[in-house]
Amino acid sequence: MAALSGGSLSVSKSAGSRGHASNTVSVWSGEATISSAATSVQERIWFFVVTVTAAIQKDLVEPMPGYLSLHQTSAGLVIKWTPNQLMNGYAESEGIDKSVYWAMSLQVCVWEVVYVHVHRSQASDALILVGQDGVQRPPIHFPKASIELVCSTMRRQIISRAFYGWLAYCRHLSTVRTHLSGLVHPNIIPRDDTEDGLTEEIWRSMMDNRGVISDKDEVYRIVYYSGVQHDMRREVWPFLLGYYEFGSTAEERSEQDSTYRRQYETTMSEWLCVEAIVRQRDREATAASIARLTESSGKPRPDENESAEVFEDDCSVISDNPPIVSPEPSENEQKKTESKPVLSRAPSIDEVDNIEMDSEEKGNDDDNINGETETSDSREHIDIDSLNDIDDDDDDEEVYIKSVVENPDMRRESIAEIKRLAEGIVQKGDGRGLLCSVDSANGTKLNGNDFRSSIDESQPSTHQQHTSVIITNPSVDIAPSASPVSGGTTANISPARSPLGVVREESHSAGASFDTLEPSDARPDNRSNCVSPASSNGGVYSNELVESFALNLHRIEKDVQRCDRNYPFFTDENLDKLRNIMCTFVWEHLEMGYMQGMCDLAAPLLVVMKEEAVAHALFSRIMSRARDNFPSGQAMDAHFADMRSLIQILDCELYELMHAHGDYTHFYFCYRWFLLDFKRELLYQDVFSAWEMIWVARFVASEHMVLFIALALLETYRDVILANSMDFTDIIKFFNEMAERHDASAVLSLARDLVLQVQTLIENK
Amino acid sequence: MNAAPSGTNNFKVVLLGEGCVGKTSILLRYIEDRFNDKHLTTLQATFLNKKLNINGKRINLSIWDTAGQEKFHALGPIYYRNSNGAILVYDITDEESFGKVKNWVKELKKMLGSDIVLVIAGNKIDLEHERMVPLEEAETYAEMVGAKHFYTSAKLNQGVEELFLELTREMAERFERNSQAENNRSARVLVVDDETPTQSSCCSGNRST
Repeated sequence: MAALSGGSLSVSKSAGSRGHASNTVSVWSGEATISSAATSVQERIWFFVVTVTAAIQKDLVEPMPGYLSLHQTSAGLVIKWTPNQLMNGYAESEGIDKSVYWAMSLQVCVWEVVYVHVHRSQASDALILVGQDGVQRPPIHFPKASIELVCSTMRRQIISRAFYGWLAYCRHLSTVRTHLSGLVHPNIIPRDDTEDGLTEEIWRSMMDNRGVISDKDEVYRIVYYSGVQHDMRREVWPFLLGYYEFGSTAEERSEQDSTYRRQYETTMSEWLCVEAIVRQRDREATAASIARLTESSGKPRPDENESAEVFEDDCSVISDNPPIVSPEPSENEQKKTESKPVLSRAPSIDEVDNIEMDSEEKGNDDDNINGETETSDSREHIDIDSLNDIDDDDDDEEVYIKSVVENPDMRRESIAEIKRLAEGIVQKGDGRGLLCSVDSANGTKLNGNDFRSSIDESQPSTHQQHTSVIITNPSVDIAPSASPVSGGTTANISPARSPLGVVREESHSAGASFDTLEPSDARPDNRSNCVSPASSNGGVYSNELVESFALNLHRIEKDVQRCDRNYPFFTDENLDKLRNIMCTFVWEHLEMGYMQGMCDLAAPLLVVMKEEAVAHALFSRIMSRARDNFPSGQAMDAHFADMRSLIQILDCELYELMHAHGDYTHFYFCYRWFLLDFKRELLYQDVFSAWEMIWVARFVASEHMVLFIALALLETYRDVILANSMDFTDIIKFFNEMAERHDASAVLSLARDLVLQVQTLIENK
Repeated sequence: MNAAPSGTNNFKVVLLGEGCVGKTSILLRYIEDRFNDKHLTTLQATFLNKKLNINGKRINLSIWDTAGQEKFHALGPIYYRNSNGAILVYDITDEESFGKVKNWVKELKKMLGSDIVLVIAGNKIDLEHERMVPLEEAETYAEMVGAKHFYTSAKLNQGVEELFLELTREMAERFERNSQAENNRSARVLVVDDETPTQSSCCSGNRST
């Protein structure tokens, strides 16, 4: 019997250690007799699965039949005996007092038992368990000759239950494995001498005399296992991210770079124009707010209510609609005649003078406040047209911008100029809601005085007015008479005025336009799905678009300032580069918009690549995968689900803990890890290594390397987590404190091991 | 709201508000009494503890600092659920950020009812000359939604201590009130179940205090 229980223990233990359902009950059956010496066991009996007939003999009274069973609990094995009277379906159980039977039921913890005696006699065999304290447990009597039967039945039952438990567990694991098999590649690529990583020597040896690297698999393999030597990163990263193609010649790549740079600058010139408008609006909004604040402390103005409405209706965050810009009562009257408060923005031309003076005053106020100095020497000549708008629905103001830069070769220096030019316009304060036509000589160097602006007062408006800003192509000759075209749409850019012959109309849904004038692009998927919301060589920017960009611009600026400011690389100059990368990307993806964290993803690229346009190219590559991790995407939930499965398979102890704390289930403590590819968790040089590994892992071992790095981080501290039984709050705090203190190379190495572990697991299925 | 056996009350507080209004700075000032003009954008959330003593009561504040940007709004509930208090921060030089405070107030009232103590902080008063959010508007609004309003400058260490103190006091008071109401309720039940005079006198005694 002792041997048997030992055997049963070992069977159950092995089943338990595989982590299968822990409350499986192993039951043995057969007839048995139990003699209980008036035990008073108060514990509640849990449950039985198979009925066992037993009998109890209590102080020479009738043997009492009952059920004998073996339970596996979280603490260990427990032997239980319960009188039949307590079992469900016992015929005579009606109307009897059960408490006396409860008192007789028995529960013996197997781990407390040190001796098992079997007393055989003529009438019956008795099993006596002796505890550590030397006290005998009540003897259990079996009818004569039945003990062997009981033992063999018990053995069989335990084995079969263990087997079925194990089978169920295996089936479950197989399901999880199938799920996990999607996470790793089936074939294992060996490590073999990659110790030094991708050194310059290796890299050069792989390159032919035209600069072609053809063995990309070898590059991926080396990088996966040992990373890239730091000095080589600038050269290698564009390959790893798929910006350069393997097989391309050095010449082709340099060609590609210059094309990309031109394109980048074109895009920049677009948003720089819009930025200038945004700046002007901001200044006005500031001025207006200051006016409002000053006012609110004084007497309320008659138009105050209406102003409030304008703000409410507009809902725009860059309150581009300064309600107080015109203090003239005439405007107020005019406003009242209009149905839509938004339109109050466009004042009649009569008021233009007033407004201008007004805004100049405000501008000065603003300047004083900000302590800026403004050069007022260049008094540009600006065309201001007020347009009669016939269409009541079309009450949006639109901003028309034609790129100053036509010739790609001109673009580079033109960016600075367009910036200055745009600033020139807005400095005067005329950008506000008025049609500004900026003319510049074709191809000549521009400066603030080169373009003319005039205030056209010939079009006093009586009712709705449409306001627009046009920055025309340099070659466009603007006759003052050409501007006051009626109608608020693109009609005022006639093909005749555009030497490019194409006028694109920007619908309000940003991104709808496709730029046919884009310099032809050799690379296949470049910009294919990221056409800038406004075409590069001219186009009409809806007010909506300008506002949307303004919103993003403000966010970008706040975040760029805060990005890695402890890191010496980020001087003002480099922060400017970062800002440009962000703005350009966001301009190309206005529907996505700027999201916090993008700066973090771009910063290391800029640190390595140094050059803005290439860093932008690589950043775009990264974002094509990473965008799904941001709140609008779906990837994060998938990551959490995969993490669950992985932990379940690879570390069931940790899984149990997480399962016990319901809070763990959402795995939000991994949020930042996945969002930024561990950028905030590791030091810069480690971020480089981690990123390289993530990029190439998809060609070597797994497309989901981030999961394995996350798992490696978790496993590194599993003992701490388990010992302290950390909950969600503890763990998030723990990892926040551990940020940048990890032993990155150990973590990455563990991550690779974990991939291998899963690969092996799946291989042996 | 857990009263630990030691007699320490645990309160959970969450900092909410638009990006770059100074949530982390306020927290840093309060917990470590320093101002770091170089800290990074908060992503996800960070968590800090502060122990304090109010009227001889030991109180432990668990403070969650969250990511500000609108896009991360959906993560809010993870951090504000079961909160006893919320500090809604805006930047007085940024009108938009005040609008965000209003959104948060609406959401919190909807999700947590009046169980949560709200405090509104107009931060960056060191930039008073750039103020965009009118003083009266903010204060009137705060009063309307039953929140205390504070002007703070994490940079100059103004109003931060007061803000947390008032919030804690309010949370403690509300906790007292709730637990007392709870006591009264259970005491009444006892009286009904068990009509012994001692019980009812205990109950009335409880009420009178």
